[in-house]
Amino acid sequence: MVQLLSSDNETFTVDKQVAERSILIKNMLEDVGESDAPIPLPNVTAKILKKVIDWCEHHRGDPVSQQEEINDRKRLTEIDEWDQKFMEVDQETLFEIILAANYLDIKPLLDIGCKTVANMIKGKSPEEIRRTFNIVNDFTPEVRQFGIISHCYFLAMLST
Amino acid sequence: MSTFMDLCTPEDISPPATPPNTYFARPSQRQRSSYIDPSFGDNPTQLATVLDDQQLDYIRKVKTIFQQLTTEQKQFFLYEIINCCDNQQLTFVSDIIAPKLKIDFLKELPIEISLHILSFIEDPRTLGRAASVSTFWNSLLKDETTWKSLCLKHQYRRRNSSISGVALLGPPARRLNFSYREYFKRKYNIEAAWAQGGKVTTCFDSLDSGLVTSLQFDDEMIVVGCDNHKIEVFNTTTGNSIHTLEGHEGGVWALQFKGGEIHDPERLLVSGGCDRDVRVWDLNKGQLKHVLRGHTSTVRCLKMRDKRIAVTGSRDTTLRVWDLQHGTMRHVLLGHQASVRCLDIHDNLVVSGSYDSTARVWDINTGRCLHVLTGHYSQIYAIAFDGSRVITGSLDSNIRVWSAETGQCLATLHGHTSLVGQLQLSASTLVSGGSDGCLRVWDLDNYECVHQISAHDNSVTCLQFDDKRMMSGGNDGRVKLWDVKTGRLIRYFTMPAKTIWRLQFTDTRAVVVMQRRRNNSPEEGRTVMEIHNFDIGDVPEMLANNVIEADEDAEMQNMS
Amino acid sequence: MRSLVWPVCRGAPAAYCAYNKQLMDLQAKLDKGTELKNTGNKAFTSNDVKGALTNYHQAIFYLKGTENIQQAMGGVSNEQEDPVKSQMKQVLGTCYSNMAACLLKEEKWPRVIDYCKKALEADPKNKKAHFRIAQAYIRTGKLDLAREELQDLLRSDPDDAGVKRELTLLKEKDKIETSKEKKIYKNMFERMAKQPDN
Repeated sequence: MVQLLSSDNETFTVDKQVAERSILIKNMLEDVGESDAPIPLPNVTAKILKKVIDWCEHHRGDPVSQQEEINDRKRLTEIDEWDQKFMEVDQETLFEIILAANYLDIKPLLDIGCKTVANMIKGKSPEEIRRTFNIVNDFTPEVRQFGIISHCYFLAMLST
Repeated sequence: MSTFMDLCTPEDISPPATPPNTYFARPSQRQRSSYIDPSFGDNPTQLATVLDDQQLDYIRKVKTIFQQLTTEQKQFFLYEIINCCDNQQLTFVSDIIAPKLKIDFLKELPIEISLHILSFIEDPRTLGRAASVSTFWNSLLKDETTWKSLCLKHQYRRRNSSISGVALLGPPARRLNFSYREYFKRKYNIEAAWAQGGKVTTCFDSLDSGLVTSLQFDDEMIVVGCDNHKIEVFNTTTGNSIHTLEGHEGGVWALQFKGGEIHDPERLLVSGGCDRDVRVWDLNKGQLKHVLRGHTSTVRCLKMRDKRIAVTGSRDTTLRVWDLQHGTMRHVLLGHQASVRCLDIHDNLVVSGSYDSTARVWDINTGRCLHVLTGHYSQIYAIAFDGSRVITGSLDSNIRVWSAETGQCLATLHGHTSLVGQLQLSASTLVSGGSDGCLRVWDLDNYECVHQISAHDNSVTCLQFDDKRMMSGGNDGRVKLWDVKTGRLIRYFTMPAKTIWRLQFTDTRAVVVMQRRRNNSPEEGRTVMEIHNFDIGDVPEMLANNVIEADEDAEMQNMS
Repeated sequence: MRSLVWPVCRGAPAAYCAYNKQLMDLQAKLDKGTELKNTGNKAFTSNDVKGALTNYHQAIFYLKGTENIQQAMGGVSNEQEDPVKSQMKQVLGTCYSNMAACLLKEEKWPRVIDYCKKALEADPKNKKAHFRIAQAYIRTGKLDLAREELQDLLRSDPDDAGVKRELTLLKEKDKIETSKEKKIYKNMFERMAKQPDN
């Protein structure tokens, strides 16, 4: 068993196998061996750490894949059902999970988070994207006329 | 017992996808974006109708005090106020909070994560729309890394890229003077042109009506060897004739040239034919350099190892190794019992296929025959060699794979039902074309036929493939373009002809030489050369056919 | 009016564990990380590899630069503009590089490669990291990658004895590899020759 200490001083006790889904923690345990002291994670709050631990528990048996297949279309777009529900959180939590997964080096979780965000962009018009993420349209009128339109033309021309 | 957290965590507030309705009549403040800031301080006249001066003053004081509280105190304060709200006011609060909780992730997340998110979008259209969201998004999407990963996904790999993953975070200026975005655009346009048709230049006049036996081209020159004893040289871009190399006294049956690169601009051409001579030309100048005599019958096939050594095979059953610089003969390779029909070279080894149904492996330096590859029971018509494996195609309709080191036959590939006349080998993939009109793609790791394509109604006369596509020409007068991975037809490459003599393609160009019917006398043929160019920038037909989606159109109208 | 319900803090002895308690700011993290790195360095020089690794790992926990969203939103998102963040990156790079040195001693080659790569991300010019990754490449059979690294190093430091030593080792390994391959093919063909023709 391993103890993890969140940034707001909450301790979580998890199985070693679960904790080792985080490569950051796994490497440390390999190099240094186990100890009784809790592992301090100053970049993850308790709330997010709990979510991350939940995910790791659910996926504890997953094989750790070495190479990501870039060309595999399925891997680019599909997220399994449980993970989809897991990611149905508000944006702030979603981004915090992504940051935590990046910090703890849990690549599959990071990928799912990023895919979720990518899916939020796909198929939307620029205005819809702005609404989804609350972005201000700060283009000047001239740029809107030429810069974007030509860029859009080129890219709009690319049909799949 | 519900806790503070249960009441007020953001999880309870699900952000709506569309902005909230105008609950408070402020049409003047409605900006383009969905960001709504009902800051009371901005519109004093309207405020005056809602609150009197004393109340306004009080509120200002409260604001100041609030901003001075600690986080916990602020939360307590808010908790108290919210508990004083009724449902309508809570909805109001919720509507204000919702957009504020949304995060412009591209801006706020560390850049490597933002780019990682973008790497999951493989549709360039989505990226195009994303680029017009805001100036920050626009600049990020112009970032080379996005385009690099898109290039990788679409497999437009850049051969000599020295941009490693480490350079991910550096600004573009620090890297090489190479734009992945431009590269992607260009590559994408080239692919599109391949799929739909590029710019075609057709040349009628320069080739008479003769039979074309050989073809080779590079970025500047196209060389065509003809039955009428001439070698025609054309400009690849315009199709205009540069020179005609005359001198052979019989049909030219084989030719090859090397050179023409940046570090090696001189082009050396070697040709051989019915007149038994081998001629060496300076292709750029169009001048003859040497006449190599020795063969006693038609020179049927030839290959250059480099600009110094060439090997020719002849109907006189011999092969000869020539020194191209001095114009002398190095070795005569004796052993075959019948015409040497085809040959291939790799490093210091030559492999030859003969009508005596054997193939032989020779050492160029010593002239010795290292192995005799016996197994076929009929004439060998085609051969391919990559240094370790020799592939032969025969009239007996089989293809055999041999080890160049031991001379053993590693496998026999059955499938064709007639003469196998065309072979091309690349890594572990072999493509064969036969007189049965079939194309077969073989995996040489397990000797299996991966695709079997009934390509033509008559013999396959020429073929070429690379890692993406395959082009075949047949005696049925058609040229077809295939996807080499799936084996499916992409398109017909040219208008129908009588027969296709030769074809060749590179990443950006393709040249096909064929015989077409003459308009006034269908019995006679005229030789036509088509030059297809795919690197032509934005394909005009595509722009014309482009349909911009309704929302994008409205978007652009709103912008102006 | 609803009754006040004070939040009950889970586990923490301090007063009110609010949802968004103040976290360590960047400067504090940098300081803590640097302190741990220095402790690690001391342990390394006194040959306490385990102790060094422990400290380096802990330092990484503090320095690995993914602040939470609040800090990201409040602060500057462009790394190059924030001196604290770039310092953090630098110290992080040093930690990775030193960890690679520790693991070199323990001969854990794949991890050496990982850590060297991370060190090089932080500082592409770190020669020690290039050297260590080359050493690890050689010992894990990635001879071409090793060659690239060593040749680069040789170009900038033609007299470096260490680089030369590794290059000699590389050449030896190369010879062994090619003779091994030749043996494999020889055996393969011999076996195939014994089989009947299909």
